[in-house]
Amino acid sequence: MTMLLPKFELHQPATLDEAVALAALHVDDCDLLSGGTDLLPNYKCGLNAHRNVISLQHIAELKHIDAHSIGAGVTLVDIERNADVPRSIANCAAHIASPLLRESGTLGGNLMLDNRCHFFNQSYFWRRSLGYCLKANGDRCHVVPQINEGGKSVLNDKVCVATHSSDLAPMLIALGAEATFVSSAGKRTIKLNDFYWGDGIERYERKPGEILVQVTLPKWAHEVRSGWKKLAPRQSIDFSVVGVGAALDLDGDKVKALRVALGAVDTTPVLFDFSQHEKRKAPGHYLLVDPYKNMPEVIGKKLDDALIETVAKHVQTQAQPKLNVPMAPDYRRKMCGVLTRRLLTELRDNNR
Amino acid sequence: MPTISGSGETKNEHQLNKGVWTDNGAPAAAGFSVIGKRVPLKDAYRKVTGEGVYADDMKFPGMLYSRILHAEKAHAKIKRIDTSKAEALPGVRAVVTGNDAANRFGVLPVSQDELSMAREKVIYNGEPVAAVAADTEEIAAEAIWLIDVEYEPLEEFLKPRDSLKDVSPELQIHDKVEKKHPNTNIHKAVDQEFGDVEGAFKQAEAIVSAEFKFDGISHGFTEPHAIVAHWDADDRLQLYTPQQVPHYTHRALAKVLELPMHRIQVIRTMVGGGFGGKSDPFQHEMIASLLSMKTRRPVKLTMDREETFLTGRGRHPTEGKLAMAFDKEGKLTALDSDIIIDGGAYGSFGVVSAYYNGVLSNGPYWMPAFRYHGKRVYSNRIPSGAMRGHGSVNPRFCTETLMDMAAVKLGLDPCELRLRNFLPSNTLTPYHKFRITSNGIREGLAEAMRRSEWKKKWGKLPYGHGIGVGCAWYISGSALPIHWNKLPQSTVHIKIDMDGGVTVHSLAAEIGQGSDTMLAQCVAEVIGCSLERVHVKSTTTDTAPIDLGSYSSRVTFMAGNAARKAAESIRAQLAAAASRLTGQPAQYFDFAGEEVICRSKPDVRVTFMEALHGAQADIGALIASGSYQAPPLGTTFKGSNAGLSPSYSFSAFICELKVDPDTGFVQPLKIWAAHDCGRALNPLAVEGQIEGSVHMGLGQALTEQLRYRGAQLLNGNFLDYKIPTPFDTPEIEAIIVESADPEGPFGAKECGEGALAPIIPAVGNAIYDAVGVRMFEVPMTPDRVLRAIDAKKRAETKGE
Repeated sequence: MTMLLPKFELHQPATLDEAVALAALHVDDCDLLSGGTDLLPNYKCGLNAHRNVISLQHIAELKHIDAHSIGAGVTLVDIERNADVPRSIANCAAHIASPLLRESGTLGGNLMLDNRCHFFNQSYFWRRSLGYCLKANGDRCHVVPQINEGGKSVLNDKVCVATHSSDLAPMLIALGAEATFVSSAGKRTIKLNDFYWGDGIERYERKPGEILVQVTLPKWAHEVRSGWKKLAPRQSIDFSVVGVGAALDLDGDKVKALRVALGAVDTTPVLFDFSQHEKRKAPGHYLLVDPYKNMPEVIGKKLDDALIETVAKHVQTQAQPKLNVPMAPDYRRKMCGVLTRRLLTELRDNNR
Repeated sequence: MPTISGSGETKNEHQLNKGVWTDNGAPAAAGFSVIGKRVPLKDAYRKVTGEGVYADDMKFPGMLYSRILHAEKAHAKIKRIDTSKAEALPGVRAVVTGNDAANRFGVLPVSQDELSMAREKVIYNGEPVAAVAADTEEIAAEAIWLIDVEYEPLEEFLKPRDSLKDVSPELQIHDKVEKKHPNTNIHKAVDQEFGDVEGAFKQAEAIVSAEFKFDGISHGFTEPHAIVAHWDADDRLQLYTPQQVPHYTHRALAKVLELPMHRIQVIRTMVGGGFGGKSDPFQHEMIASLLSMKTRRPVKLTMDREETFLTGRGRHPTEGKLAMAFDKEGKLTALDSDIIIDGGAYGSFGVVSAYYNGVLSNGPYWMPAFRYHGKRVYSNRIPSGAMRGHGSVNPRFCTETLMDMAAVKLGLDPCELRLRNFLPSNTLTPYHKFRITSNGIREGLAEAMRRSEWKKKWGKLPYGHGIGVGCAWYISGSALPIHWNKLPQSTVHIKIDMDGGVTVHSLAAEIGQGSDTMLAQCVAEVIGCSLERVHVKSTTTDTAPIDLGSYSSRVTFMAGNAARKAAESIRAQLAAAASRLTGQPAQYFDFAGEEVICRSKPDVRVTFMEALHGAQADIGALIASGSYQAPPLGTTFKGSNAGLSPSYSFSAFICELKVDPDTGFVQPLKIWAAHDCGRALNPLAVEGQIEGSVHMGLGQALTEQLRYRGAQLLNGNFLDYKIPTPFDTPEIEAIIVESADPEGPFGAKECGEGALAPIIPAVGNAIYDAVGVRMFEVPMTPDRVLRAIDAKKRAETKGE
């Protein structure tokens, strides 16, 4: 008791069609609930609760998993134990939260995880004491970031910089995953990297009434080397303070393709696609990280220690973590480089 | 000669069968039948099955629910409180504010500086300002936000050094401050100097000094504060509370509520962890009582985790500058320490903390010259208080780090340096006259070195891999009561009726440390009955004789002795009955295995029940009382009472760990933890205490810290306050060193608190062995470790 849930109506559809209809009906005032491990703690803190909660727990259509697609309702523990998905994805899932939470938490919940911030993930009493923030009930950001506008750093407390803390999002982005949504308007498939954009409040482009159905992997995701590294204060339970996912394709000892995705350093995952084929479309002024600024030439070069160092340096230089989750930003920034270097060295030296 | 045992040598073979409390025939210590057995704690089955009743589980007819409104400002005048809207909310039965209780209270008679709720001004973010009792918790939660409070902010004191300044009376957090510094926010200053400190530093072969900094930490007990108060039909207050010290709460309630103590009954509920954090009388206890008196209905008050953090009483944030001098033989010649501790908003146990931060550095090494300037300050932060290892833990990190630095300077193995300086057994410390009885620290350190293969590892492990040592001592119960009086510190009653059940009454609080089990063992050993017969009633002030409770690691020594004495009185009654039944002289009987046996003629024996029924003839139930009072100790200078104890425990820990030089992450690999607890009455419980202390100490060493944003606690929840998980906790080898104490019950000393302090410096010293950097800030978080490594690298590059 004592951390009380606000009152809401719980809808428990048994099929996806029913869920879509409910989502359309309550489009202006509803949240989707899967494992509840993120949504319910936020509700207890009085953070942006809605009057309708649609539970996706009983929808069998969301629970399918195979080598190329993972349903939104598949639990993290089922991803962790699945033998067909790339090892990097299973490994990534295996380090989210704690064993108990992974029994409830789902892929969909992890991808739709609300952004986190010291000034947001607090009780009503706490936020009332300090003054509310942009992300809940307020009109200013307490992190007061330096925002890059046209190459100039300016202070701006009108943009939310809450940190995107999903682990599976950057890992799946590195592997080129696509997400499929349904709504009463129909089905839509979008590259996961294009799905995420915006500030700490908007954070992704979900159209009204849309429900995530599944994530699909391109064929090449199984053919490249891929891996995941997470830094967190403790060995269990904690959100990442830096997460690095990478997909590497080598032609002999030369780089054919390299995608590095960072988690927990910005308002969305950040993809460094060294093939530069998929530049992110996000409005530049929202984002502190510009992965393509001074991006080094990597493709076609031999992946020796020096090149790995160049890549790690670039990732570290561009990363701009903020002082709004545990561990200091300068430290986390440095760790972006360390983790990238370690991950790429492992991917090069251990075949898959 | 102390003996050694522990988890490395023996395995736990006991088990719990269907709630039957059994020791499964585990062997007792030589010469004993119950003492020294590995006995599962009496309340373990209740806890693991969920059968245990905590205060939040309790329900009473007509019960109301309470919520507290906490101060949103850290230092501000209260201009106005309007409760009318809250009172008008349907379902609200009563609202109370500071105006409902004017009397101040506090655990120490010299620091009566707490109000039930703030009056006139608030002094920290989180201080109770008003409270509501309502039909449901939902209504209460809604009602508190209808209370309108208007504040006028005052300058906030958030850094301990700011509290040293002279300020206007308006900016003094409390009216009463340290007499020597009347215009400041200094709560207590302690200045002690003994021996020739200046001379020792002048003549020293090696001098080491450093500045240290410690973040505040919280106890992190599992059960949040939860209580039920009931002003009952007899016009008596019944307070159900998970208190470590029901007696001090009893006294404080009487003062605040202006009731004679006998009209209040304090009932200790099952305690879901305390560690010192449930040993003050608390505001919420006053608040629920006031609401119940106002409504004449039971009132439950369960805090959420953030409120529990805000209630505080954790280890003081600490800053210190310490120096040590050594002669050329490696003998410690002087300690000079200057320490400021941040007490937060209230006095709490702080006067004791201020003394302990200095005087408890007079061991485990012989201290020829000693100087201490200590200040405890008030600030507008969460109140600090007593936490496991009270007052000794942070300065212990400082002195153990300096010992290690001195060993490097003198070219000695750090363990060897310590062995040259340990206090002997059976001695008095030179100035404070602390009475050292048994002391197994040499044997403990030697055993930890042997098991850890110290000599093969220290200074020889590859870069990033290290081993370190830390030693400590601790009081086995404070020899002086907080309230000065001539009453015993512990009294135990025993009642045995014809059913053969042995009922033991005590107010020593079972807080998970095993005190009920310990009392049962002491009684069963003396009267020779099985443990299953013994039922300990240690919850209610109406039936339990006063015991000062579970703090200062005093229960085994003091309540254990009282139980033993009460049992001896019962034994005399049983022996007299056995004598009448057998015709043998009463002094000839031994008591063991449910039998009363004639020593000279072992075939002459009666059963326990026969002796009992014989003894009950004409008088009915047997009753007996035993008590313990510490003997006169110490010396006469002002403040010389602080640190006195009838006995002291000693510990020597070794930690092996790895440091990732790129990330600064520290991974403990194994801890060898040798603790001298006198005789281990229950080795299973001793190992549990050692392992628990190590786990808790590792938290302070590596991950736990109270972080603030200005005056507001930033991490008042268990996701952001980082207690180590099982994945972060290495194998712990508990080494029990048994050096029988002449006065402790069956030779026992403490083991609940002293085993915490040594792990933190053992980690710091192992980090030095691994990567060559000294850590002066605790916790030793990855960013701090990495900063130290990078600074060393930069210095080396510069040097080249």
